[in-house]
Amino acid sequence: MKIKVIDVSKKIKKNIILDNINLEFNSGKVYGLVGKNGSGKTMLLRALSGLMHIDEGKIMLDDRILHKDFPVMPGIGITIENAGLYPEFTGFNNLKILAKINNRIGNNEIRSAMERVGLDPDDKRTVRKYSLGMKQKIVIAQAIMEKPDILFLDEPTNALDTAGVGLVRNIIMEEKRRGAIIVLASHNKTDIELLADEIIYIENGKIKEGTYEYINYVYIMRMYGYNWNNGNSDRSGIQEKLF
Amino acid sequence: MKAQIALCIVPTGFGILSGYITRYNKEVFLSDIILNSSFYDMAVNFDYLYQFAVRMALFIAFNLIFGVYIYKNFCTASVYVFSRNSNRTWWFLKQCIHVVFYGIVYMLLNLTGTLVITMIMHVTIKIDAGAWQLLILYFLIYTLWLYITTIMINILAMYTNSASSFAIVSGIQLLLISLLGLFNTVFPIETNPDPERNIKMMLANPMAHLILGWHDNVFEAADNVKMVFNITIDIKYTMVYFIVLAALITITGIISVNRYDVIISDHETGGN
Repeated sequence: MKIKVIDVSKKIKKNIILDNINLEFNSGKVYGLVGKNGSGKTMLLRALSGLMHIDEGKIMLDDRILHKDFPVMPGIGITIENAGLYPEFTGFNNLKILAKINNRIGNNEIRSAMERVGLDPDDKRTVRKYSLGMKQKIVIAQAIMEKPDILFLDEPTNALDTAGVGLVRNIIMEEKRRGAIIVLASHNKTDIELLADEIIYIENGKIKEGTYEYINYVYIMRMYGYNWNNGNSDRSGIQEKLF
Repeated sequence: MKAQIALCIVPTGFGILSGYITRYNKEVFLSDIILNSSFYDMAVNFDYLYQFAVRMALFIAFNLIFGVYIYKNFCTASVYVFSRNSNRTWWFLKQCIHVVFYGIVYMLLNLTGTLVITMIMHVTIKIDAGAWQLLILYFLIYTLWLYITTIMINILAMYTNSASSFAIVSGIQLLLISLLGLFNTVFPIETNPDPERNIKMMLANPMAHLILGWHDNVFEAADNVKMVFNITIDIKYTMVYFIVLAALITITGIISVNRYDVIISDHETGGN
């Protein structure tokens, strides 16, 4: 499975949000999406998923075109920073409501997804009463519960404690081994260092190579022992040792 | 909170209706009750129109409860709902069917409440010949109106927020009611020996169609009730008008949900 992003641009109220983006994502790889706040990371994830229409260019899944052959990217799991679930329902019921949209999975799969992220499926508390970390975990559970072929994760380790961060990193690696395409937007350099096979640096809606921030990022990555090669590097050997 | 407000408003509505029923001593025809529930004794002077606006609270309560029924999916969990939703048109139509269903249930609850209050007041309800026909017309017209206004609130909320959209649609309804006052002074109907032209003008105002007592066909059905005012609207015209409005609002909704970019996750909190 391959996602190809070809000359994608998007403007919102005359502001250029995405500027002539060209990218390629392949199965079984984790792509680290990095950049400053407001650089366009989340917007790129929204465009890739089909939640947002693009003004120019096209996004292809194999030989099919998004918004032409299908309205949203099929078989995706997504987490977006600040987007929550229904606060008046329990975690389990939230996932049940979402699972009902496509009717692909039942209660057992929902329970298993919750247990995978370290939540109790029988917890009777509503999501409103969840801690920030628990809210983050339930959002990750909804993303992985249907075993999607594509995962778009926006800051998945935010608000998590050390154990939670480890749990989520393990999940990302498990999903990668399962063959999913994973795009991971994160400010957490360790997440990117440990998990990403390739790094994409975005600035003002443009994919950047050669800017000060990009070179700085490369420098920091090298300090972590990242084997840099034109922004792309195969790190599967290191990951296999770590996970 | 909204449910609590509605719980207060619905009994208030029953109270308002029961106030009109107390005029009957020992027995009342079902057609009377239906006509009372649909503003039977309405005239185009401002005293009556004020009462019309107050009694509309019962229907605006439905707008308040179900004005977020579809829109709530565009709030906090929008990303997770629409990333799974491959056919927004079908999804929207299903939500619309739910609103129609709840509209019918709401109308039934209100009518049941009115009947119970009537019986508690020891007034015997007699089912007259045209009552069932009248009941069907009442349900059709009011359910369509509830549908039109509620879907309108849901669509507007996608572009503004739930409070603003509710205020806009309720405001439009109240403005339309007050505009009926023009037919008392500027374009008189009741005191006009030839009111046909003015009645035709009034037909553009949808609120006029909610007053079953202004439909001449209704009185052919309810043979126990006499027509009060010199205003006659054909019920077929009302049905076509409301069905066209409902179709237009549904098409607008389909276009809106399909074009909607899930960028702002929650208009209520400003979350992105």
